Amino acid sequence: MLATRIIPCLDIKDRMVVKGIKFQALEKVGDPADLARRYYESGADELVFLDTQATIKGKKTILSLVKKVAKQIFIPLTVGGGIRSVKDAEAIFSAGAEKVALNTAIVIKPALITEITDSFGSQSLVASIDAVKKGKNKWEVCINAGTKPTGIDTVRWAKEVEKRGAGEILLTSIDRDGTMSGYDIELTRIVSDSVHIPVIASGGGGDIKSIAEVVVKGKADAVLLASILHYGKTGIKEIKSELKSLNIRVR
Amino acid sequence: MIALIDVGSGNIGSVKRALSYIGVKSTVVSQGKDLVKASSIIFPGVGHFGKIMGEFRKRKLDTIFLKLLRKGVPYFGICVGMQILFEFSEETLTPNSVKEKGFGILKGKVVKFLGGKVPQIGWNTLENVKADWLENNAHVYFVNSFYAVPADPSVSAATSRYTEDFCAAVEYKNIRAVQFHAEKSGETGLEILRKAIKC
Repeated sequence: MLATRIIPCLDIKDRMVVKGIKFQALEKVGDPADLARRYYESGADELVFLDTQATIKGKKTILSLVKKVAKQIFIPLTVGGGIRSVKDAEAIFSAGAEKVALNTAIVIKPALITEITDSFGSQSLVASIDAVKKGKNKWEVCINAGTKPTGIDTVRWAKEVEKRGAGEILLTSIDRDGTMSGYDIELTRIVSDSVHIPVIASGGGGDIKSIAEVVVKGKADAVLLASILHYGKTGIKEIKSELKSLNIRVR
Repeated sequence: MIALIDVGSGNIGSVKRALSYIGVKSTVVSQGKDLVKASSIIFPGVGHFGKIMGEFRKRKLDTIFLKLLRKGVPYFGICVGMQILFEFSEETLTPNSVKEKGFGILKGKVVKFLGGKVPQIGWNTLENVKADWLENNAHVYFVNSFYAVPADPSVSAATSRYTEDFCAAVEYKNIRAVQFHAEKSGETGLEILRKAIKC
C-alpha cells in the first residue's frame, strides 16, 4: 500500500534556510545542503526547496543548490519560488529537480500549467495554493507569498488546476503556517475530496498528533514539514515511528 | 558501451547521476545509428506511451532497439521503459493522443488505475518478488497512472498494491524492467541499479 509522504520544506534566503511565522519574520536556521542531507538520511520521502528571493535576485543560487544536492540525494526534489515560465521550469529540471511548484504565476496565467505539463508531463508540476480562512467552510486564495488576496475560492481553484493538468496540489493554510498549532483539517479534507490528484498538506504541522490528524481526517496524501524539523522539535525518524504505531503507513 | 536512450522525455539527468554515483559509465544515445554499438541498454521513459514510441520511430531507434533486445543485449527499463515492452497501452486511447503500439516483446497490455488519486505518487512496497535484484517489502518510488499486465505471469518479477494489485517489475531472459523510479528510490533504488544492470 502507498505510504504517506513526509516532506521537509526548506525556505531559502541568502543561501541559508530560513523559517517564519504566517509568512512573516524570517529567521535563519541552517545550511541548505547540510539540512537536505540530514533529512534525506533520516528518511525524508521527498524534499522541497522554496526560493524566497527568486523574483528579486534571479535563480542562480537555487539552481546551484539543486545541482549540488541532486548529485548525492536520490529522492524527488521539488523547487518553488518565482517560477513564471516554461523556460524557468526547464532550467530547474536541467539542474536536477523532478518537480516545480508554481503559485502566483499560475493564478495570473492559468494556461501556464498546461504549457509546462504539455512539455514535461503532469507529474512535473505541483500547484501550490495558499489559502486564508474567510468564514465557515470558505477559504480564499492568496498570492505573492500570502500577501495579496485574490477573491478566488480555494476549492474552485483546486478543481481548475487539476483540470488544466497539475499533477499534485501543495495546500498551505496561511493562518496556520509557522505556528506549529496543527494543520487546517477542514481545509485539507474539503480540497482533497474535491480533486482526484494527490494533496500535500502544509502549514501548522506541530506535532505527531496533528500530522496523524491531517492524514486520517484531512485525507492528506502527504505532509510538508518545516518549523517542527528546522527548530529541532522532533525528527523524521521519530515522526515516522509514531505514525506507524498509529497504523498510518510510512516508509 | 552502455547506452542510455534519450528520446527527449526528461529524466535522463537523474538516471545518469544515479549511474555515475554507483560507478556505471553510460553514453547518452538519441539516434538509431548510435545504438548499434551498445553492449547494454538502459531506457528511463517518462511521459506519454504513444509519444515515446513515436520518438523511437522518428529517431530510427525502433528497429535497432528491437533487434538488439532479441539478440540478447541486456536491457534495463524504467517506468514507460517497462511499458513499451508490451503490445499496447490504454494511454493511446485518449483523444488527441499519439496512437502507437508498443514493441510487443512481452505479450500483454498497459492499463489505467481504476480508482483513487491518479497518478499514484509516492513510495510503495514490493511484493511477490521473484528476482534476486529486488527485495520483498522494499519501498520504491512510483509516479504512474498506468501499469502493465503481462499475459504470461511468469515474467512478473515483483508486484505492488495501490487501488489494485499491479505488476511492478518484469524479468525475461536479457530483459529487466521496473515500473518505479529506481533512480529516485534513495539507497534502495541505488542498490537495485547496482544489482540489476548488466554491463
